[in-house]
Amino acid sequence: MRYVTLLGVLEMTHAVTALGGHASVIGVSSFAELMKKLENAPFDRIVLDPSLLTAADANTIVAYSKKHLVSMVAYTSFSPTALEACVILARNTSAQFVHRGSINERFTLKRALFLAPDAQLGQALLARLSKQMDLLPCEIRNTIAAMLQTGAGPSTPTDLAAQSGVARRSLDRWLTLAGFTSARLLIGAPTIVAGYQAITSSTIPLARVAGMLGCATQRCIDARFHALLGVTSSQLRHFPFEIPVAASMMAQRLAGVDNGIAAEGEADARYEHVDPISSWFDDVAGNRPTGSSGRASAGISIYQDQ
Amino acid sequence: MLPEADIAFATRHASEESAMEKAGAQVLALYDTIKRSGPPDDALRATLMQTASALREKVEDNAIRAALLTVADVMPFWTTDIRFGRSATYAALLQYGEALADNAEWELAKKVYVLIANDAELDYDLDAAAQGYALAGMAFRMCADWDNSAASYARAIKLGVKNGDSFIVFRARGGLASNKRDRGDIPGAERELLSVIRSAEQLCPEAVIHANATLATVAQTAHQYERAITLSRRTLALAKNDHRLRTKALVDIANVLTDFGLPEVAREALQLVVATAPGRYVRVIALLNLFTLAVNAADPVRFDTLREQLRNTRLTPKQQTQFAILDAQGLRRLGYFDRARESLAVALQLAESHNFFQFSFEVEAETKQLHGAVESSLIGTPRCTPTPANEQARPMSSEIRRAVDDIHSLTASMSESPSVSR
Repeated sequence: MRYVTLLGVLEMTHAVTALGGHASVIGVSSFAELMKKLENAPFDRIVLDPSLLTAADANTIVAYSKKHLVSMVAYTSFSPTALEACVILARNTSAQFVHRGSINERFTLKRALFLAPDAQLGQALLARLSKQMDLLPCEIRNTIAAMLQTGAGPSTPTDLAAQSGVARRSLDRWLTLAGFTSARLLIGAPTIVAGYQAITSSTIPLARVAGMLGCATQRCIDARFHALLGVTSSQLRHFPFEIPVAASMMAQRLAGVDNGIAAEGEADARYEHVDPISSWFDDVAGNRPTGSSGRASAGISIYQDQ
Repeated sequence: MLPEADIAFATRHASEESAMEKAGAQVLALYDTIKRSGPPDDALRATLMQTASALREKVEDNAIRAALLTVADVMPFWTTDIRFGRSATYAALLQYGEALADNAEWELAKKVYVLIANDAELDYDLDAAAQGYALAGMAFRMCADWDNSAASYARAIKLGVKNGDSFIVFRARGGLASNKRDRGDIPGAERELLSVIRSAEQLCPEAVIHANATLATVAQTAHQYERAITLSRRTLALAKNDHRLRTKALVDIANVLTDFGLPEVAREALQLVVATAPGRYVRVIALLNLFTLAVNAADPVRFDTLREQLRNTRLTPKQQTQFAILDAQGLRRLGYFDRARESLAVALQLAESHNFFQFSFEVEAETKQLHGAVESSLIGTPRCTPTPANEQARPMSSEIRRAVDDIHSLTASMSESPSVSR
């Protein structure tokens, strides 16, 4: 993974320590330099301190991230100088904010750097689910859209219902009416969006990725990935899918959407040959995907055995 | 040298502290109004601006003021930008709580933490809620409210698991171990911390450092000095960029060296911490350790000065109990047996009322020592007791030698920078 950073010296040290050699980092010292770097080469993540941005800078970076679908991490303390840029970034992007000085700062920073949501995957998935999403009431739709864009959200269907301001039964009814197969599967989707790039484009050990995703063991995230992508995390690392393929697979499992249906303007036909993706791995692990939705809940909660 | 300066410092800042408390109450009241009644109207915005300008003009520039100003700055976004406004307000309030805790204002800090934890949980901001509960667990421990401390840590663990935040989970489990240590369950604390370190090494290396630091204090409580030194040195090595943790580790090492019989090296480190540590909490711990050195050396001048200084300092129940025990020890060594007995009674009362079982044992041991000293005085031994057994210098192992070198180089490097940053 390639990161470009616009940070102070101390923040830069923290970021580099957090990445620990699992990614390439290019640091810049001014906004102009940042934009120059971004124009010259694509980056997977932009990590910046909003206190180093003016309002105009923040608007420019918002426009860039919208055009190029790049994930952003805002690593900052809420000083008056940072506030304006923070608000612009929060209003217009799915930037993850890491607060300086919080007790879990280092852990949150590491998680944000590695698990910044794959903006392209989130967007592609939303595009494929747009028909189903349109049938949902506004509150549920917004909550689910935020989950898929930010790669974070409620951890149980009951929490999803509460966060959307509806009863659990109503949630299930609405989801069924809209064509979603299960609320439980939907809850697992942000994990995939959050962990996708860390698994496919970095060398960070999978057990560590599992820890950052809140799982005690690799087997736990394997269950989640298998439920929605039909492959385990190590299979995905060895044979990463193109984003549209992954989004189609997930849409298929989440709402029975056929690979070619929901994408808007994307050449899904390019991936028609990969239809039986799961069969690629039959010889790798003998682990033929079943599409069973129940597997998402097979994960073992980390700390219960301690 | 230091004590008189610090007494003057305390007096001068007493009025500023009350101004800060008032400002804090005002900002929290405004937060409550915005939370309950929605978007701030013009009058409320004006009050917010007034509060912020009063803070800037009347209150001394420190971490508490900075945190309060940030709260005032971000609060207007509470309703206009829900995603950013709320998480920023919670983060700023948590900063305020931590600034209070650093200043040893545990009672107020715990209220702030609980307020944030409850509100953030209702808002589904699990990150802020889990942090709030974990910090509340510590604040309750400082106030010796064991039940609420355990409940807060348990809630933090639950929310941490839900949020996939293994750091908070391990930190809260470390907090539960600290509760066990403070209540005298040393084996239980050690078991828990070793389990945390084992799990965290794989899942969340960031949490190892805190568990390691706590394990060092457990080892010291169990009089395993070499092990405590090894663990504290490991903390120092791991906390390369964390000055706050380094300062605490330095105090821990100095503490062990005091017990180990190297008072001069310990004093060097502690005096530096008292002079440079930004938070009052760490300064008070260092002061208590300097008091321990004065007690062990039976040095009447230092003993009286530090005793007076600590009597004028706001202490947590745990520190009050430690102070009373040390006071009794010092008075016994200086031959004031009646006053030592009074201090022991105070220590016993504090230990029993707050369930500090470890201190109850120490009071019992000290009572025996006092009886022995009284008997000896009756048969004509000198009033001033010689240096206690644990103060006698022991042969220095390579680990202790390295710790002494660490202290020298750290004190040299810290003297160069005027204050230790957060």
